[in-house]
Amino acid sequence: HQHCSTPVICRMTIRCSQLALIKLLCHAAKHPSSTVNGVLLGTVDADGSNVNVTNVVPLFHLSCPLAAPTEVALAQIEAYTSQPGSNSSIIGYYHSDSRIAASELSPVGRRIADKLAVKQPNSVVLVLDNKRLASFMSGEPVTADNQPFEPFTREASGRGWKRAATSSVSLADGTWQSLLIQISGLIRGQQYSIVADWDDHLDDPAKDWLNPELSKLGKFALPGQQ
Amino acid sequence: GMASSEELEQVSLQLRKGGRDRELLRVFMRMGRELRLKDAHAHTVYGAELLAKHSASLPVEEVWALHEQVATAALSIGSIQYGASLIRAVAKEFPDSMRAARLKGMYWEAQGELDQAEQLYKDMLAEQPSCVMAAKRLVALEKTRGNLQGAADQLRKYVDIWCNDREAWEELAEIYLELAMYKQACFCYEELITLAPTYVPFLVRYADVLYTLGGSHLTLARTYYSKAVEISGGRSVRALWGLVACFTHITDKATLQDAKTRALIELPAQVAKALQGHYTTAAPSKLPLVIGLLEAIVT
Repeated sequence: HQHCSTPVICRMTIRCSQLALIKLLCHAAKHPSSTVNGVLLGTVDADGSNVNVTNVVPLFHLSCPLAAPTEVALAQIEAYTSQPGSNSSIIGYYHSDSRIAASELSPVGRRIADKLAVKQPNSVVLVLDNKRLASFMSGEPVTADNQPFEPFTREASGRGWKRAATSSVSLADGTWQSLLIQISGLIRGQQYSIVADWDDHLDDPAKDWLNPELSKLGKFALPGQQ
Repeated sequence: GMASSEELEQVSLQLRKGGRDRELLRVFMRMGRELRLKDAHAHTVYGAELLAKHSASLPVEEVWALHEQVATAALSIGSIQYGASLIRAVAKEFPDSMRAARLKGMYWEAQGELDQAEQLYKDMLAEQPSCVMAAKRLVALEKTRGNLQGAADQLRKYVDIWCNDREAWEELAEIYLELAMYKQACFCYEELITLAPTYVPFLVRYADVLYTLGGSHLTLARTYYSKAVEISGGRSVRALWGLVACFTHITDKATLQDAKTRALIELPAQVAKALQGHYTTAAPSKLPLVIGLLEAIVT
């Protein structure tokens, strides 16, 4: 089956679980006037052709450019994914900037993504495109080429990041429609704000950056049942 | 007294569960004003309900404060028509006020009419050169235009005059951080610490910026994280983790010479103990992860 609409041979797919994207969208919705960022968890094929994003850990909305909180968070998330029985690792980075009209990978984002790429050379980056997100949230039909998450992959040289085909991002479960229904419901019901990131955790360790409550909400909302 | 973030959590939780009585809504909106919160969705939704259902029974000053608060929130989430309706009501009631003018300017900004907004704010300043509201909107305008350097320049001019305005210094620091101008951000935090020498969040953030600069700034970062730990009575988890980060980078060992160096040598173990205490109480599921990381700094 075809991944891309361009004639170039597309060698990569980035499949994302609904749960991962829900958490990302809640994080962005909770802090609409800030930049938010986080890490992507999941698996990558040895040759980097299939990336599976199964979860995200929201990092910051206040401390994105600060090195100490970033290092501490990454160390702990890595410790988490290294536990016996873990079937995922850190495979990438996301951010959402409230102000920029077109999706860009900011210098801060590049630095963090570069760091992650040291351990996982096939890391990917997802940047939330605000214009496409607005269309998505208003119910406009989603195609492979206008879904709201702009993917970036490593340059062939190994230094720097380039935009990948928008259509390389797809859903591992459910549909774009069911994703919209879920996130709209969470926003209407004000439940999006239960998402906790590392800034919240550093201010109050009881706030869990694994967001088990949000994971539970995600499980009940099956596509077609809303 | 001022609401705490724990009280806000409580109220938010009740509202999410469906409680919508007048007093709960009032308390939430009041806390939003006091704590200058940014949860624009919640403020729009709950504020709109309060105004729609309970205006008649609220004190007049509160109704107009709500108009301003909800209009601002509504504009920021894109509910422009609703925001505009509130602004029209304010403008009708207070026709020549700076507050109404500022709201009108924000409406123009939300509509993307930035030049129009800029002219309005400049007119406000022409009429009242000390109008803080207008000066600050001009800064916000530059941010909206994506002109962070311009915003920093405007704000720098502002703090040259209003040098005791904590919020302005904080905002300037944030803009500098976004521009990766860490030394300038440090300068802002030094001013803020002068204004509020025992306010832990400033000490921590100053240390955070110093740490980000790295190199020769690490020992000063360690000093400020330590100060934050001390003043917060060991409660600042951010400061404790900041110290852990410092310990992993500052490799030169202090030699035991005096009380000061003794304190420095004993610090990693104390920090590890304090963090373990926090996680045992508040986040036991994360304790195994934390212990692994702390072992590295204590050896």
